[in-house]
Amino acid sequence: MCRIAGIVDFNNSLGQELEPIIVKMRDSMAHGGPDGAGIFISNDRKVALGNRRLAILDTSPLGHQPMYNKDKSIWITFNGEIFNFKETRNELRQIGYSFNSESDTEVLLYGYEEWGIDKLLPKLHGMFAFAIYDSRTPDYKLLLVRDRLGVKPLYYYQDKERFIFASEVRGIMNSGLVQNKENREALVRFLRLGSIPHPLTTIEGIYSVPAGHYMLISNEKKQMKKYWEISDYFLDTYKRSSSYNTEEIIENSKRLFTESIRLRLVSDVPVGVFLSGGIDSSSIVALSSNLREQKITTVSINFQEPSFSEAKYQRIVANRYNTDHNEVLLTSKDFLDELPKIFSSMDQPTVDGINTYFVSKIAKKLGLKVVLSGIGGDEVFLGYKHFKQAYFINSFLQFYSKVSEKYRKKLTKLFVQFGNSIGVAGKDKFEYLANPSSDNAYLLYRGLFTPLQIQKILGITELEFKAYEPAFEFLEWREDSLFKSLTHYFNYMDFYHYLNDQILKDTDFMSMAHGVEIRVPFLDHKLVEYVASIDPSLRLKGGRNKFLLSKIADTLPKEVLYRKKMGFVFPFANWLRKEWAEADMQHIEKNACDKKFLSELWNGFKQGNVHWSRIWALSVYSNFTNN
Amino acid sequence: MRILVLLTDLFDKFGGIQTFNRCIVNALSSLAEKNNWQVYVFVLNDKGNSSLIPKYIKSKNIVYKGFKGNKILYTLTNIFFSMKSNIVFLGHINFAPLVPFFLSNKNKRYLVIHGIDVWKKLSNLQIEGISEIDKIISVSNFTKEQMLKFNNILNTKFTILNNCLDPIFQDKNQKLYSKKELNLPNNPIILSVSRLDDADKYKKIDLVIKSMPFILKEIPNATYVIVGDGNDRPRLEQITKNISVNNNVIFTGEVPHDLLSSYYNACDVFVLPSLKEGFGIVFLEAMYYAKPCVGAKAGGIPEVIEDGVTGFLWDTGYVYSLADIIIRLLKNDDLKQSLGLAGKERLNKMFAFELFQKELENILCQ
Repeated sequence: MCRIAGIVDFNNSLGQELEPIIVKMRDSMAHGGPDGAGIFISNDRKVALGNRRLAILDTSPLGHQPMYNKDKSIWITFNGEIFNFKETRNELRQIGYSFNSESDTEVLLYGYEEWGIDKLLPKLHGMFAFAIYDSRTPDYKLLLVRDRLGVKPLYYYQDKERFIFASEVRGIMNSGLVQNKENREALVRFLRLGSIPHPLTTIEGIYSVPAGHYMLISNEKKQMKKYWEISDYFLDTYKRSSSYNTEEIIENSKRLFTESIRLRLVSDVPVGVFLSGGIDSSSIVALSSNLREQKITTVSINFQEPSFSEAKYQRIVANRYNTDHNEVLLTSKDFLDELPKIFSSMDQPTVDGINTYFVSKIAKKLGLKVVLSGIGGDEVFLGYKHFKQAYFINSFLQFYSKVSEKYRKKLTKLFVQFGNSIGVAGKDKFEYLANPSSDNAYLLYRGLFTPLQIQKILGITELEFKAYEPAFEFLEWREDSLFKSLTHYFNYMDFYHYLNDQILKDTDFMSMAHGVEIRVPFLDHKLVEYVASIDPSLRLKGGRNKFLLSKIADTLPKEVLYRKKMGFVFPFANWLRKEWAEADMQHIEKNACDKKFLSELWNGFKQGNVHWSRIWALSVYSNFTNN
Repeated sequence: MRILVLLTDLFDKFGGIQTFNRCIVNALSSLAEKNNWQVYVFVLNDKGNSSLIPKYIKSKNIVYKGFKGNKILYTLTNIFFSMKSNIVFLGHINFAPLVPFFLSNKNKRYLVIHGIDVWKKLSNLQIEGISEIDKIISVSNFTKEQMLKFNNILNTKFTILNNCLDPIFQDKNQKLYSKKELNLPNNPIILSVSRLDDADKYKKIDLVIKSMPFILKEIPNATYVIVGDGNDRPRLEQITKNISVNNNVIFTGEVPHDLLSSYYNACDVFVLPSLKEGFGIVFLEAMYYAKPCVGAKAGGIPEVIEDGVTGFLWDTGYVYSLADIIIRLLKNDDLKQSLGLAGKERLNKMFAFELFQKELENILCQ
């Protein structure tokens, strides 16, 4: 796991500046690669690659990057892990390739040399973002590849003169070649969603390479190609509807999940597991313990606030599987002391990721460089409440869409007022009901501020706000017919947006802030493909969230297996409410136009009627707009 | 031979399906004369009084009737007429459920499929109807593949009849107005022709607008002309203001049919990066005026635009490249011209009305 960067200088306009610029870009991301650094400049000085290394596999200098092939015609800079690299290496050895190192980078390099990118990608099992420079053609050729589910980040900028890429937006900004122009469209969407929907970023002209895509940049061609798409596997739910066998599904899912964990335990440095006490992380511990002879190291965070502490469950699991268990108590003081660092670790704005920041910090202290996490469990095995509620929402919307628009608007207003009067949290989001659609149903759950609230915060008119619609920047065709139900659609959107734009993005930069690699066994593509092809109604059998997972991890103690879902949440609300001074609010207010709305929000939060994420989001927003 | 043709819309609306239907009726008008066919064209939503009728229906062998949306009368009339028809030609998937109600099963049944309406699991009633259809006529290979993806239908049941250029476009007497007469600046013109409704956001007119700042850096006087109207227009206009390109973007609103040709003729590049087209007839119209086309590598568009030969296909998801393609075209007159001419040649070779008519005759006479 590393940080990568690169430049293609189409017309050699940078001259001698190319080298110091790539070094500067690379080193601005040193936190994610403390173990080594390297650069490569092509002979024609059109291409520069940079790498900061976090050594996990083959920690010797032989794993140095950028790495080159025998005749130095192909160079690679790579961030991530290929978990099945030994298998692929054996295949290449049989063809006649010899290897200098024990690293997966070298396997990628020769795999590309032998098969080319289209045949190599289906063989890869892992999380990755890499760039390959290929000089075997008369002209330069650069490939930029991102993993299937978007675990590893990759951003690019392009203009007439050059193409620039990096693992972080600030990596690109540190080239000094991109104008620091705030992307208002992206920031408004952050207020709307709590993270910026891809491919947008906070800076105009910088975009993310979408998950499951690769780019080809050459003098002749500039292309982007999709090589993997989760909804392709949704199609099977139509074809297999009559041939489901629950026992077989449980067995296959268990086999794939176990294999995923086995692959992710491979490392040349110490590996641990984050144990929150919920079913996701507990099931990883349960299955890991069968795969290893030595004890598994588990890491848990606890709080003084009893309603947030999951220590009881963590200890049950740690005892049951005899782990080397580590508990750390986190206080509001720790949180407030770390706030500046949390903000500075945030490459892109998010309302999440603080928990990852702390667990990674603790893992680092414990000497762990690799940690397995339960991220993705809720998306793969349908753990969120909206998956269950989708059925009712859908029935309601079917009926509600038949009401004439005029009456629907009036009724919706009444809903909001009624919600207000009985103190329903998030009642403002009922506003989305006025225009019933799948996207608006999704925003009922995943939306942060509503369009009306954003108009107040920014002091813009309804028409001005319209320019920032729709909430998601769909730049590809979404095959709506693939979704059998609203649950199915929610499932797709949680992969497309929530995991991709929020959870995985902030997990990456928050863990990299401490030089810790987080591996996500629930997001193994073989497991995801298999489970995605199963009808959601089966994954929610008996109306139970994570029905399948509870069967897979059936060795877990009953207290853990049947406990109420809590999510991995911190007592932020208590901390913010108690410790944040009015001064912090003033900082936020600088950016807001409707002071009355802001003070209502702040008072509502203090009284416990407004979720902490709203206040936190405004703080993050201010931080990004003031920079 | 007696042919019964069931269509949803013909003369009162403009869009891909309506253009296809007009081509069908125009072709049948000639074929009916030639083969002495008696053709009944029953259109569900038409009012039946359009001024376009004589332009398309020139044979007395064609009986045309608009049903003004009266579904009950429409259904009963068709059930009755189907008894005495040798061929029943259904212009939309929504008519498929009528087929099991036909009182005679001696006639041959054809069903036309266009796009989005069949790119999904069809209802049991539709599937039931399809089982009694002899041939499914798809406007593109893509639409056929999409229908097969979700439904178990015999591959051999399909035949492809590509959309073609509306013959009205080839009217040699059509007056072409200059940029000045159209009130357009004498600048390089990027053109889109599209409905601008909420439901049409997938056509990605907003993306072209957002590409304008990149384009203007290279070609400061480039002008983007958007022909069409709809309830999404205020949003699009607001975007042009937000990113300060409103001086270089012109919304013409809806343009009368006889003026449309002039807009195509006046443009330098035709762009529509739509993500969900079954075919994309507007590209054929641009090709007729030898204009290079830019579309998305999605849906049925790659069957219309030959990448690098008659225009360029934009890789969906790759934001900057749309601007890059447009800049490349606007800066290179030779490239623009050669792609445009190749487009016209492709149109004549593959999507000309005469070919469409011949192909339709082959299908109906099989």
